[in-house]
Amino acid sequence: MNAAGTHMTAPPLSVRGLGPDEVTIASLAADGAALLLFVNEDCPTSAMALRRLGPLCPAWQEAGLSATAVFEDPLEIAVRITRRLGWAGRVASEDPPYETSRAYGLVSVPTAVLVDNAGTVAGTVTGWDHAALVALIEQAGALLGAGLAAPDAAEPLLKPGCSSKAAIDPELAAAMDAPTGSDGIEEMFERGWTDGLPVVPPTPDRVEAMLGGSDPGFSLGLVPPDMGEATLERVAACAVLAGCRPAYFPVVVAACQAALDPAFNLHGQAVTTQPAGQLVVVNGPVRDAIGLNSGMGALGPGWRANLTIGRALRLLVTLTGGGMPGQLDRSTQGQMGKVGSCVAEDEEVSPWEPLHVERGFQPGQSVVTVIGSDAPLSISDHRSRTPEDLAWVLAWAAASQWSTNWWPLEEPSVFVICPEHAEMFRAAGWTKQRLRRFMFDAVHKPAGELRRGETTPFVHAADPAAQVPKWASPEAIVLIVAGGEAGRYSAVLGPCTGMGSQIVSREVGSPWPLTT
Amino acid sequence: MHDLVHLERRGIPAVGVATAPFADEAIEQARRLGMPASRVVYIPHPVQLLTDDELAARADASFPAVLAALTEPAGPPAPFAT
Amino acid sequence: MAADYVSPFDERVRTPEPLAPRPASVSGRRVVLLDIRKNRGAEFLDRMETLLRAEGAVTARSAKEIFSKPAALALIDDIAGRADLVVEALAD
Repeated sequence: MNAAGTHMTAPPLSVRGLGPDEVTIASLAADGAALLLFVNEDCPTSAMALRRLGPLCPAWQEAGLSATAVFEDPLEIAVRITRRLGWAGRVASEDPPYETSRAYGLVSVPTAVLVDNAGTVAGTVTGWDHAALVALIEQAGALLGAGLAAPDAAEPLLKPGCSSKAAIDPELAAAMDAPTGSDGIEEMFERGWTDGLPVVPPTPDRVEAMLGGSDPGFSLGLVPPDMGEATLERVAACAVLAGCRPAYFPVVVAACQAALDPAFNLHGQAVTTQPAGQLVVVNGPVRDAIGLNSGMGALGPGWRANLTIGRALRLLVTLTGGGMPGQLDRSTQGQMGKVGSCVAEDEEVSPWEPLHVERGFQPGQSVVTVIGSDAPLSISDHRSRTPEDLAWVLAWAAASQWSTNWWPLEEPSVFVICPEHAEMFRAAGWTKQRLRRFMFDAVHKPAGELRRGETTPFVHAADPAAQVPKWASPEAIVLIVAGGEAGRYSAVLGPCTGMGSQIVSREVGSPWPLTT
Repeated sequence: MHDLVHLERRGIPAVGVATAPFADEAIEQARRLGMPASRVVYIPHPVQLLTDDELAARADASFPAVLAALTEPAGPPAPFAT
Repeated sequence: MAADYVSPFDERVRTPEPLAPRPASVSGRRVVLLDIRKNRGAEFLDRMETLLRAEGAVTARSAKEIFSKPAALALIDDIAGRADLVVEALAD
């Protein structure tokens, strides 16, 4: 800090006074000279200076010396303190970051600065120094050609001051003044920007990095149920909140685009009492490029890409879309897939064409497919020796999903076939279509057995002996391969029903980086 | 505003009292915290310079609004000003 | 405060969080008067307390540690355990 030393021009004042007029050096020194007494409310020495010099001010003013107490505090506090201490001079107040104190080179308060009517600093005194103050006042008197009263010599004659607020490290000062937001993580909880877990605060820098140059204003459409607009900026904020890396963003965008397709009926899923989550299946080269897991633990925790991509989509629904559990999201029990549910298919181990190829894409395209689904149900099979036996076990495990008797269902069940189970079908030469057909045929019951409570119109109208399938067609059986190479546990994710939700796929937009 | 929002979330009706210049900040804070319906009663500024009698008069004048904030059913958000 | 963060919300449409349900009157209710520790707050709340008692409320006082930060959650917990209603003052 450059000190405003003697014979330098007094720096301009950036302070608030009591009246409407601007407080300037020129106006203060107009009658001959000006004394500025810099103080703050935390400083006992400043209080002493105000108390001892205060009563002298009216006489000084008469003689042409204005005296202004410049507080590093809000004006209201300045007024209260000066009243209490009997300061009869003028009052002014500086706001943080105390530019005027800085300009005058203050390190401590109180600091008295004498300015002549040419606007030049004639002298300064730091702290309470009786002798130096008397000399300063004599100097002022000389400027005015008048005798000015000085404070009595009372103990203590010397007292050091306290730190000027300008001298405090600005970051520390800001932290002292800042409201609770200095802890970003708690601030996110305060604002309701979470799914109940901590999130990464979406600072402008992080969001910009996530956007990676894409247009923040580009809209993907309106997110139900609140119909908040999914600008790429908001999608990026959700991706940051979720903990995504920028490399994941194109996959997040594709997942959001797919979910916002009207055919998916995200609205129904967002507000239903069903435990509906949005399963995100990723195919193609992007899986390896961003480290998506299709192997051991693929449906569980452990891989940032899986967890955060699924979560980013869910945060779009929950935050931008307002589908907050317990509020607009009426899911009775919820399920952990509503935190996020994203899996990569293990195309390399699978004996079959991958999901995206089935759905009409090229093998080399990177594609995201979204499916409304409930929580995974584990299917254990360690004993089947034939593909028929295994297929029967897999299919019947799903028979009770959604309902043991509200049959048939149009909506899809998603089977995640583990590598060991897939191997059995591979060894037997079963195509996906053959497996699907077998599973469809395996799960039938006579209509009479399904007439428990309310039944489907189909069951109601059918002959009691007629065989009713679980699924309306084999196409409702979706098959993907994922999981660890050891262990005979597959899984099935049951449907989200009754809202006409279609499975939607979307190619991942390029460019996406080839390295993480 | 954080305190008021915390209390409301805990099921406890709360009202803040602030001087009028606080209104913009309070409304923005409440919005950011997701609860724009938070209730604050505003009284004229300043209060530092008031005598105790004058301050009591401010309290008296604001009291109907404070009571209303604590007892009126939740409806559209509106700051109460005296 | 520091940064402002990029909001995931479209504020034009965001569903607001609801307030707690209100009682029909303060009579018989426990009201905690929370002093945020700014100047004149205590005197203001003194008067508020008198007025609330005249309406039949049962009153108690509490105070924040420091005005410039929200109350510690422990303080909120404490108040929540003994209050039906809260008046917080005086932000100046």
